[in-house]
Amino acid sequence: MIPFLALTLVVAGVFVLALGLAGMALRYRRRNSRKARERALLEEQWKPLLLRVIEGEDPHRLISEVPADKRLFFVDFAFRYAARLRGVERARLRRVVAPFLAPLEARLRRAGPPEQRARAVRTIGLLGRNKHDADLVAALDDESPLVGMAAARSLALRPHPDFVALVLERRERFQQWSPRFFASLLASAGPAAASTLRRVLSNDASASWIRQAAADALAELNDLEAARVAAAVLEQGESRDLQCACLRLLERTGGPREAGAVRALLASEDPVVRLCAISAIGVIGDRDDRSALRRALDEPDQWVVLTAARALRKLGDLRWLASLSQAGGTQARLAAQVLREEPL
Amino acid sequence: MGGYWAVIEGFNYFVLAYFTFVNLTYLVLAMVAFVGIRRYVRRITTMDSAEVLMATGAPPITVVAPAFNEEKSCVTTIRGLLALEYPDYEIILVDDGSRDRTLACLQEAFDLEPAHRAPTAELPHQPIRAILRSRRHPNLWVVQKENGGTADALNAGLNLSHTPLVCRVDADSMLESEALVRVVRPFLEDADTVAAAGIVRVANGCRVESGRITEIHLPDSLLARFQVLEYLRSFYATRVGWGAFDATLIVSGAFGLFRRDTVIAAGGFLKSSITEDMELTLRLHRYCLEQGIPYRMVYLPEPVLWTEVPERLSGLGQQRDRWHRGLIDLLLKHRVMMLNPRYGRIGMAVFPYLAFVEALAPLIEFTGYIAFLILIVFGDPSPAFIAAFLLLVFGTGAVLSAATLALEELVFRRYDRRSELLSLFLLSILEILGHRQILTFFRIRGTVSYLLGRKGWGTIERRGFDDEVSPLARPD
Repeated sequence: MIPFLALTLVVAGVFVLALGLAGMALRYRRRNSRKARERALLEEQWKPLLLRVIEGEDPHRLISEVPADKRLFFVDFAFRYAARLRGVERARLRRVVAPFLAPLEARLRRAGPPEQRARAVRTIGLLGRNKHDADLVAALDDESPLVGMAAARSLALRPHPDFVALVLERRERFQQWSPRFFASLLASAGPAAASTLRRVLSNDASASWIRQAAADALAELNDLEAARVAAAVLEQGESRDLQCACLRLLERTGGPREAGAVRALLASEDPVVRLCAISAIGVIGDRDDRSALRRALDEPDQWVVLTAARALRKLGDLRWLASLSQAGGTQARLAAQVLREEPL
Repeated sequence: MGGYWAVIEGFNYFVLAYFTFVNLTYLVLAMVAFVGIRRYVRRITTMDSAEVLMATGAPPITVVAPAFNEEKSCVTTIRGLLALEYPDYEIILVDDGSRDRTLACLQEAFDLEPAHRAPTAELPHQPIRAILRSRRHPNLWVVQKENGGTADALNAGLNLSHTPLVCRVDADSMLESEALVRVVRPFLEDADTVAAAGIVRVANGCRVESGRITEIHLPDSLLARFQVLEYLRSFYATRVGWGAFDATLIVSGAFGLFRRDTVIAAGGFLKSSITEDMELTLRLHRYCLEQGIPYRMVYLPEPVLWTEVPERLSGLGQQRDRWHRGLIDLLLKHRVMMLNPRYGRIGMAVFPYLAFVEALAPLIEFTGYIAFLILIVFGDPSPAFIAAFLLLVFGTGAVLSAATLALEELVFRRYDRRSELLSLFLLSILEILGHRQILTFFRIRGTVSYLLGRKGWGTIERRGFDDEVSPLARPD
C-alpha cells in the first residue's frame, strides 16, 4: 500500500510539474512578447541616430539615448550593423559602443558557459578597439576550444598583424578543425602572412597537418613564390595529405619549372596522390603530358579517370575526348560528361 | 484460478515498473536535451552564417532527393532547394521510376535536357534510364531510374555525387534557407564528423511560397496536430537528448548530411532495409567502431526541415506500421551490438534503449491495458494502485509533452499565436486519451506485419504543398 501511495504522490507531483511547465511557458510567452515589443521600439528609435553616426555625426546623442539596462542589447544591435561595415564606418560604430563593452570584457575573464565567452569574444573582436587585442590573444588560450576558435576568427578578421604567428604557436588547439577551414582562416590574414606560411610549409620539423594547412592557405592566396617551396616538398616524399596539398598549391601557382615534380607523381602508387597530380598537370603541364593522361583513363578508380578526362580537356585534347565519347563503356560516359561540363 | 490471478497481478506490477523506467528515461533525456538545446542556441551566436558562406574552406555539398510519385510537391521542394544559402552545392533529384507526372512537372518547371554525369562509386542500384540537367539552373540534376525503393534511389544519387559531403532530403519536404550552413558547421569544427542531422517539423497548415515556409501555423486536422506534438517530443526531447550523450540514434531520412566516403565505405544505403535511414545510422556507428575510426555524429536542434505528415488514419497507420517493422528489422540485423562493450555507448545504451523502450513498448503497453482492465473488473485493486497506474502510464506522457512545449517556447518560439500554444498544451492532455492507443495499435500491427514477412511501404495519401490531394505510394 505504502509504495503505491508514494508512487501516486510522486506521479501526481510530476503531473503538477507538467502544469507548472505549461504555466511557465505561457508566462515566458507573455514576457518575451513584451520584451520583443520594447526592443522593436528601441531599435526604431536608435536606427536613424545610428545611421547618422555611421555617416559621421557625433555619437554623444545616441549614447545618451541608451538606457543603462539596455546597454548589452544596444551592443547586439550595433553588432548587426558592424558585421556589414568596413573601415572608417566600422570605426565610428566602435566609438559608439566603446562605453558599453565593460560587461563583455568582464565576461571574458569569468568562468561560465563557454558559449557566452565565445559570443563576447566575437563582439569584442568586431567592435572592440586596439586595446582589446590583448584580451583576444588571451582568449586563444581559453580552456574551451569554442572560445579559442572564436578568438582566432576574430583576430583574423580585425586583422591582427601577428595573427598567423599567434595561431601557429597554438596550432595543437586547432588540429581538430576541418583542415581546409583552418587553411581558410590562415589565408584570411592576407598576403602579409605568406612569408610565414612559406616558412611553415618548408619546415620538415613541423607536423604534416600544419604544413598541409599552410599549403592550402598559400593556394588560396595565390602566392606565386610558394610554388618553388611546394615543388621542393614534393621531392621529399611526404605524407599523402601534404603531397596533395602541395599539388593543389602548384595547380594554382605552379608553372613549367615545377611541372617536373608533379610529373614524377603521375606514377605514384597512391591513387589519391595520382589523382591530385593529374589534376595539377592538367593546368601546369603541356601537350607532352597528354599521353600519360590518356593512360590514366584506363585506371580502375573512376575518380582518377574523371580527373584525367578533365585534365585532358584543360590541355586541349578535345578531339581525342570526342572520339573516346563515341566508344562504349564508362570511359566514354566520363569523356562525354567532361566535354559537356561548364567552361573550365 | 489463484495462480492465474497471481500472474495478472504480477504482470501489473511489471507494467508499473516498466513504465516507471521508460518514463524516467524519457524525462532524463528531456532534461539533457534542454541543457543541450540551450547550449546550442548560445553556440550558434558564436559563428555567423555569413562567415561560413564566405569561407573558401566550406566543403561542396550534393543534395540528394529521392522521389517517387511526388508530382504535387517536387517542384516546390526543388525551388526551395535552389534557394538554399550555401556557396557551393548541387542538387540531384532521383526519380525512382515514378508512375505519375513527377518527371513531366520537373521538365516543365526547370527546362531539363539530357546530360552526362559519370558515377564515381559502384553502389548497387536499378538501371538508370536518363540523366537530365536544368538549362536554367546548372546545379540541378535529375536522374530517372527504374523503380527500386528509396535506398536504391539514394545509392544512385551517392554514386553520381562528386562532393565530399552528401545531404539527403525527402522530395516532399522543405529545407530552411540556412539549413546547409548550419548543418555543415560540425564538419568544419571537427574533422572526425561523419554525419549531422537536423530537426524535422510538420509543414501541414504552414504557408508556403516558392518552396519556403513563410508563415508557421498549426494544421487544421486534429490528427496532424497530434503529430506536431509528437515530432516536437521525438526530435527535441529524445533525439537531441541522445545526441547530447554523443549517441545519435538516427540521422533522419528526411534530412541529414553525411561524409560521402564513409557512407560508401560502409556500403551505402541497404536496399533490404525497411527504414534505411535508421539502418544506415546504426551501420555507420558499427562500421566506425569496428574499424577503429574516430568519428562523431551530431544532432542539431536548429536546422529545420519541414515535412508533410499524413492527415488520415490509414496513412498514419501505414507509416507507423513501416517504422515499427523497420525498427524490429534493424534490431535483428545488428543484434550483435546488443549489450556488447565493443560498441561502446551504442551497444550498451542506445541499442538496449531501442529494443526495450522503443520496440517492446507497444506490446507491453497493450497487454498492460488488458491486464489492468481484468484487474479492475474482476479484482479488487486499491485506489492508490489505480491512480498510480493511470498517472504513470498516461500522466507522465503529458508531462513530457508539456516539457517539450515549454522548451519550444523558451528557445525557438516558432508558433507565434498564443492560441496555438494553448492548443498544443491542451492536445498534450487529449493525446493520451485515444491518439496514444491508436499509435500503440499501429505499432503492434507493425510487429505482426514483420512476423508475417510483409515488406512494402503501403500507400500514404498526402495533400502536397499546394492544397491539392496527391496520392503518394511506395511499391511493395
